[in-house]
This record gives sequence, C-alpha cells and structure tokens, in this order.
Amino acid sequence: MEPMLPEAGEAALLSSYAPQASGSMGVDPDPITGLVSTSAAPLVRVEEAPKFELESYIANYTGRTRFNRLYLIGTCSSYLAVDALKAAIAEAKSGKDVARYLRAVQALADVAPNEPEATIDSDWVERSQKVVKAETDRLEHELRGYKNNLIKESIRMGNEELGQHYHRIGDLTSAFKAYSRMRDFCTTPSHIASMLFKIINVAIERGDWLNVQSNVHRLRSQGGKPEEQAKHQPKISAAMGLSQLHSGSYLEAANSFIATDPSLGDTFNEVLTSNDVAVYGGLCALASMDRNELQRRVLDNSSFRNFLELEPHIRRAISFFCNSKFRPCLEILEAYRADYLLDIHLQRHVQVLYNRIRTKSIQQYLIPFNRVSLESMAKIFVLGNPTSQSSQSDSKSAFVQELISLIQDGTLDARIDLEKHVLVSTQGDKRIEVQEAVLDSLDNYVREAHLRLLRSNIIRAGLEVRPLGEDRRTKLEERGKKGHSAIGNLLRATGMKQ
Amino acid sequence: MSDFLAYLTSAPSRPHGSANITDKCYDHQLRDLIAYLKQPGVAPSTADINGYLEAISPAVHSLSYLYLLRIRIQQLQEKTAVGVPNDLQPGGTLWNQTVKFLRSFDPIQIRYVGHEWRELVDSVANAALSVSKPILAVKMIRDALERLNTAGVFTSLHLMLVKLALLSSSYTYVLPVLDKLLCHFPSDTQNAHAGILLCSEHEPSTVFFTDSSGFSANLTYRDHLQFYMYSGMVYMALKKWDQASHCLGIVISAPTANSVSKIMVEAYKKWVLANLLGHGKLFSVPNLVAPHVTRVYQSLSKPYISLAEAFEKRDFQRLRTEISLGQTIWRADKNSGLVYQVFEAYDKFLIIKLGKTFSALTMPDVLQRASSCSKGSRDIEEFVVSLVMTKELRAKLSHSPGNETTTMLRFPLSSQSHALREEHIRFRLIQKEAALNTISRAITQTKITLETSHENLQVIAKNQKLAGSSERSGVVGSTEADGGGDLDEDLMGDGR
Repeated sequence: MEPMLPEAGEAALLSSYAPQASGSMGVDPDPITGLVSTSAAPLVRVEEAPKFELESYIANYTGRTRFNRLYLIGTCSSYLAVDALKAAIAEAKSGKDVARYLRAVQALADVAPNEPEATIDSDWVERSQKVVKAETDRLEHELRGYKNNLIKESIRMGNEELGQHYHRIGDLTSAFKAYSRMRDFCTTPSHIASMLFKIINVAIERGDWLNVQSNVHRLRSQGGKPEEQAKHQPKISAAMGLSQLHSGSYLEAANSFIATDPSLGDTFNEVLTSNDVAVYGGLCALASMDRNELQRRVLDNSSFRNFLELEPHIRRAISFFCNSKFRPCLEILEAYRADYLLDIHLQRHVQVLYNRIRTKSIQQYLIPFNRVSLESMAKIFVLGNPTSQSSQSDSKSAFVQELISLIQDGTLDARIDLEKHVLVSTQGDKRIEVQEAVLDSLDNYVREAHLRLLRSNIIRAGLEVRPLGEDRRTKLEERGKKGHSAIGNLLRATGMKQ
Repeated sequence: MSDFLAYLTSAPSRPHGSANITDKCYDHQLRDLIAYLKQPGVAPSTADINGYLEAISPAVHSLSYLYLLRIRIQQLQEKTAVGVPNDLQPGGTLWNQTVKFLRSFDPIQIRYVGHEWRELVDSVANAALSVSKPILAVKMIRDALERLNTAGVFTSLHLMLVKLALLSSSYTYVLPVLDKLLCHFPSDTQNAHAGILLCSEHEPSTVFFTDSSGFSANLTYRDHLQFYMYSGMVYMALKKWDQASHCLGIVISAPTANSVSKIMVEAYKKWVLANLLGHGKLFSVPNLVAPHVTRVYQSLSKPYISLAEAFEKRDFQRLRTEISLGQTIWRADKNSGLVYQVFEAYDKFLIIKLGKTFSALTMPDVLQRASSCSKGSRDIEEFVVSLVMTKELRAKLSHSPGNETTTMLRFPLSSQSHALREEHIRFRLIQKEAALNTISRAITQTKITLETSHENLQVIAKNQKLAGSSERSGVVGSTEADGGGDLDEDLMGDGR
C-alpha cells in the first residue's frame, strides 16, 4: 500500500509528539501485531479532512463513547483536533469524570494552548471531586445497610447504582466489580440480562474483549422468553462482532455483524450505531470472503441490506468487488480511509483490512489470466498519480516490489518476467509434481528405514556408544558369551585392571 | 609332489566340476581339504610353492591357492624379518599373484576361510601403504569385496577400504561399495542356523558372515561410526550432499548408552555444513537422537549452528563475520574447506530462489536482488553461467536483440524435453526400486533374527494364552488365585 507509507512514516515521527491516552480509553490492552503502531498512544495521525461532519457524527452516540470518540478524533486528526477536543472538554464537564476532563484539557493545551478551554477549570475540578467523593461514600454506605438487612433486591439495586456511579466517574475496574457482584442477587432473567449488558458495556469500554465474548455467550445461553431474546439479539451480535473484530478474526466478525438484526436501530448508541455495523461488517466481509460469498451473504442478504443502505459507499465498494471492478472499489475505500482511521474501533484494523482487501483483489484479478502485463495491472492497482504509470512496470517501482513480496510470501502463485514486463502465472505440471513427490517420499522412506534398521542391528550387535571403561567390560561379556570359561574371563578381567 | 597337487585340486569350485555334488558332500570335501592343509609339515618348499601357484587356477581352487599364498608370505616374512617383503610390494611376483587371486576367487570356497582371506587383504593394504600408494589397494579391495558380496553385512574391511580411499583421494572408486546399503553386523546368534552348510548357494548370505567366520575383525562402536563418517566425507568430497547428509545422519543418530562419542560430535558439525551446502538450510536432528545427545551437539557446535542461522536468515554480513570469526575453529576441526564453500552455496541459493519469483530478469537486476552476493557485477554473470553449466540452475541466458550489453536470465518452467525427463524419472524410479528391495529384504532378515515377525508374535501370543490358562487351572486347586478369589468374594457380596 504505497500511498499509505508516507503517512505511516509520519505517524511514527509524530507519535512522540502526540499526547498519550491512558488505558481506560476504549483501547485494547494487548495490541494486535501487524499494525502500523502498537503503543497505547494514539496510533495514527490523520492529516486529511474526514468526510463526516463532527457535530452530526457525534450526535449519533450517547453515553461515554461520545467523549472517547471525540478525544480520539482530537488526538489523531490534525484537521479536527481543536473542534473535537473542545467538544470533548464540554462533554467531560457535563459529566463527573474528572480524569478524562484533565486528559482532554492537556491534549488541547498541546494542540492549541491559546484557546480559553485549554486551561484547567480548577474550580470545577475541586467541586466535582468533592461531589464524586460524597456520592461514592453515600452509595457504599447504603449498600452496606442493604447487606445488613439481607434483602436481595435492595443489594442488587445498591450494587447497580454503585456500578453506574463508578462507570460515570470513569473508574471502570470498580464498575466492573460492582456489576459482577450483582450476579448473586439477580432473581429474574431480565435482571440477569440487564446486568450482563452493563458488564458488556463496561468491558467494551475497557477493551476487555475476552470478557465481552464470555458474557455474550452467557447472554445467549441464558434463555428467557423468545421476544426478549429477539430484543437482545442485535445488541448481542453487534457486541460479539466488535470483540471478534478486535481479536483479528475478521471472518467471524463479518458473520456476527451480518447476522445483526436491523432492529438494532439506535438502541446500542452507547457503543455503536447502525452505520458502524454496516461499515465494520462490510469491511470485514470484504477482507475475508470470496466473491460468491460476498454476493450471496452480504449483497443478497435482505436484513443486512438495511444496514448497507445507511452507508451506500460500502455497498458500492462490495458490489464493485463482486463485479471485478477493483479500481473503483479500492478508490472508494481509499477515499474513506481518513474516516475509518478516526473511528475508535476501526482505527487499528484499517491498515490490515485494507491490505487484505487489496491482496485479495490482486489475487482475484489474476485468476483468469495466464500472463498479464505489469502495466495493465498498475493501471488498476496503483491509485493516485496516473502520470507516472509508464514507470510502474519498472522493477524498482513500489507496485512491482509489492508484487514481489506477495510472490515471496506465497500469496501469489505467479512469477514476474522483467524482460517483457508481464506477470506469468505458474502452472505446474501435475505429472512432474507427482513424480517428484513419489521420488521424494521413496527417498525419505529408504533413508528412514535404513537408519532405523541399522539402529536396531547396532543395538543387537551390542555396538552402542559406551563410555570407554564400559566398552572393555561389554567386550569381555561378549567373549564370555562365546563360550570362554568363567575362570578365563575372571583372569582376563583382573589382568585388565592391573 | 603330484600327490600334493591331487589334494590341492580335490575340491574344484562349483561352476568348474563340482556342480553336481550335493551340498553335504561338497562341504565334506572342503573341510577335508582344510584339515589336510592345516597339518603341520604339509607345507612344501619355496620353489615348489611357486610351481603350484602356477599350476592351479585361483578361480577353481581358491582354497588351495589362498593357503599357498599365505604360506609363501609367511615364509618370506620369516626369512626377511620384514612386515612387507619386497616380493609382496606392488610389482613383485607375489603381489601379482595376490591380485590375480583377489580378482578371481570363488566366494563360496572362501566362506570356509574368512580369517585367512581377511589377513591376505590386510597384507595387500599394508603392502600398498608401505610404498605410499594406497590407491593400488583401493581398487583391489573394492573388487574383492564386491566379489565376496557381503550382502549388507558390515565388516572391518569396509572401514579399511574407506580409509584407504580417503588417504588416496580416490573417491569414485569406492562408490560401488558405499552406495550399497549396509544393514547388518556380523553377529553370534547366527548360530541358530547351525544346520546350514557354508557351501549352500541358496541361503541369504548374511548367514555366512558371523563373528566366527573371521571376515571381520572384532568390531567396536568406533568402527561403524568411523565408517559412516568417512563415507560421508567421501560423498562430501564428491559434492553428493544428499548421500553425505544421510551417512552423517547415521553417525549422529547412532544409539548411545550414557555417553556421546567425539566422532558423533564431529559428524554433527559436518552434517550441519553438508545440509547448508546441499539444501541451504539447517535441519533439525533426526528424531532418533536422544534429547541429551542433541544438547551435547548443540553445546559443542555453537559456531556451526550460528553460521547456519546466519545463512538461513540470508544475513550476509553476519555470515561473513561468523565465518571470519570462526577461522581457528574451522581449521582446528579441519572443516575450512567446507566452510569456504558456504559462500558459493549462499550465492547459489539466492539465485535459485530468484527463479521462484521471476521468470526473467536482467543481470543488473540479479545483482541488485542478490545484493548481498559476494560477487561484483562482472563476476555475477560468470557465476550464473557456471551455475547453468553445472546444471545447478535450470535457466537460460540470452542477449536481447537490440541490446548486446545486458544479458537476460530466463527461468523456463521445464528445461528438458518431455521424453528426456520421462526417461530420467524412469531411471531414478528403477534406482529407488532396487534400494527399496534391498531394504525390505534386510527388514525381513532382521525380523527373522530378532524373532519379531508376524508368525513369531502369533506363537508368543498363543503360548502366553496357553500358559495363562494352565496356570489358572493349576493354581486354583492348591491356593486361591487372585482371579478365583475375586470371583468368590463377588458371589458372596451378591448373596448378602
């Protein structure tokens, strides 16, 4: 992906400058390998302007994810930094989480120190801290009271309130614990379901994807009324897809997102919107499915179509891919790269997903050809600068280098002819291959058998490698076996010792 | 005189007159002859012996001829008090007679006198060594061994032969012997086949090579380790890396009891190098090798392993530093020659690998791709040409019509014509078939001697069953056997 390379370089350069976000943001604690950058700091700097409008984008979300998304955009996009961070500060101030307010102010101070919001409102900080402290104490105290009275329902509600409070102030670990403590005091299936959803939400924010998955499984196996289950299904699928996306299993993630019921609507806005489902599902499917599957399971899927209609460009990209129009497909994706790099969940997977889609396109493109000129391939797969295409078939061009690396890691079954500037697909002669394989296995068999046969015969003949002293003794024993008298043996043995 | 000659010629070889005698009679004849020859005082005088040696044919009366030769050698040795008398040295009459004998003796008669035969071969080797011309002995001993046909039994003569071949650098001469798979060792238990007559033509010939037959000196583990080590070295000298790797593989996977031989460690070093030169990579040791032995290898051959790792990672700088750092080690281990070949092998594998990515590219491209090559721009073309000529690289070089200065390297998918390749494959298949047959025969043979064949196991199982049932029936009567007791208790338990 040569157009990405300069950006990646910049990302590496700028990452030291970019303020760092703590682990409490919705970032996976264990980074997935193969990404541009793997530190907990903002991964990418996005210079281009994204296609979305900040206000309308953030208006789709509710809850804590608003701040997290704004903060991510503020720290990653140089174009939207000030606006996003200002919005993030406003968002933080409306809540009770002091830590994130401080973080946002710090980030803004780094970008635009002259803004009025870039100084810490210590008044508000102190006040909030006091309020938070009082609230925590009150709730803990209440909970203790409920526990003494041993009323299950009250304990559950006490824990729930405490969990909500901790969640609001950003103490995710305590929130998780408080919610987990609810489990023993749940009496009805709907209580259990709501508790599990709360745990899932916290786990998603923590980036604890294993817990998301295990709690999703619990929700699934929990049973309950069919209509309840139908209500939960979209959220469950979306959460599952999200955790699979983060663990890098894109095919499973695609399946989960595709299975999400369109009734999701805006019910899961504290985590993601229907638009997100369309984008995540579409990209994962593009990266992991072949053309038939895409056509059958994504484009012809009547329920997922509802999602795709929200993001028509993803739909267009997929149908271009299915119709083997790879250049428009890649162009669409490239155009939206900035958007996806500013998405809290997609950011660290964009590069991998795009690479896979590109590799797959190249593979698909080559299927019908016996030999293709590098120039015509470059016309499709080298995006951007059309002027320098004449040199794209040169051996030093980035595109040819990309092909070479694909061939070398075994993704492409082809060879490059630098004289005629064509890519020749290797069609091995099956007969020769079989013959070679037969000869090889014959060879191996004979060698292995010889090795083992010799070994057993060596042992039988008593010719194992022994320590020097022992060697003499065994020889004597052997001689003894051959019929020498015991006395002679003894004499010889003593003679040896002398 | 004529009486003696009559005795000497009493038992001609099978194809020459004894074809219709039964095995038993022939056996008697030969044993009588040996007994007669071994009598003290039978030996004729020096002049007579020469006459007899002229008179009888070594092919027909091998036994007698061998005895006469030995007596002659002994007499000369006693007279001159030298290990190798002049007459026995290459060119002498006795040498010529020995050569004549070893080229034409009858292998069946020789079975009765393995010890004497081996001594004769030893003295030939000593004679050749004494005039520093081991090459003279190599060919002869090889022919003698081929004629004797030990059928896969290892003898001390094999070891001597390879040693001589290495001394004389006459590697190709010994290939016929080395290419045969040796699977057996002369062993005692062959006495189980006591009923077999030595002159029988139909028995597998492994039966005739036992400890007592005298064809081999007493063997120790060092002998077979050395043999395969030397064989590996012969193959390496001929750049037959596959076979070399196999031979050295045998050495490193030799069975051990609590200790590792230094020969094995040396073999491991050479094995690593042979695999690098032949396949361009470091193989993991065969799984027959015990873990503690592997650890010994790895700790004692660290420089070799890191050399191989540098090679595998295509890290030319590291490879070069490893090689120059280890100079003294390579020299001390006498592996410098092999290590120097590593450079060339490195370039070779880089260029061969290009064939997987490209179907055609220009020489400057080759140089750029194989940029870590140790060659200059001019040398690289020569190097590629030499690779193509030695058929290591399946490629073609061509000048493009307009441009005479740049050479194109083209990797065609199949360089040979169809018919030619089929013929080649057929040839290799036939080779493998022969090897496979040898191995399967050897396996059957080993199964018989180890008594692990299917029938043996069946009999054992049957016997155990019989023994088990008789034991039970016998024991129940006297004392309560475990099974019986259990049964009783169960019954009582049920009753309650």
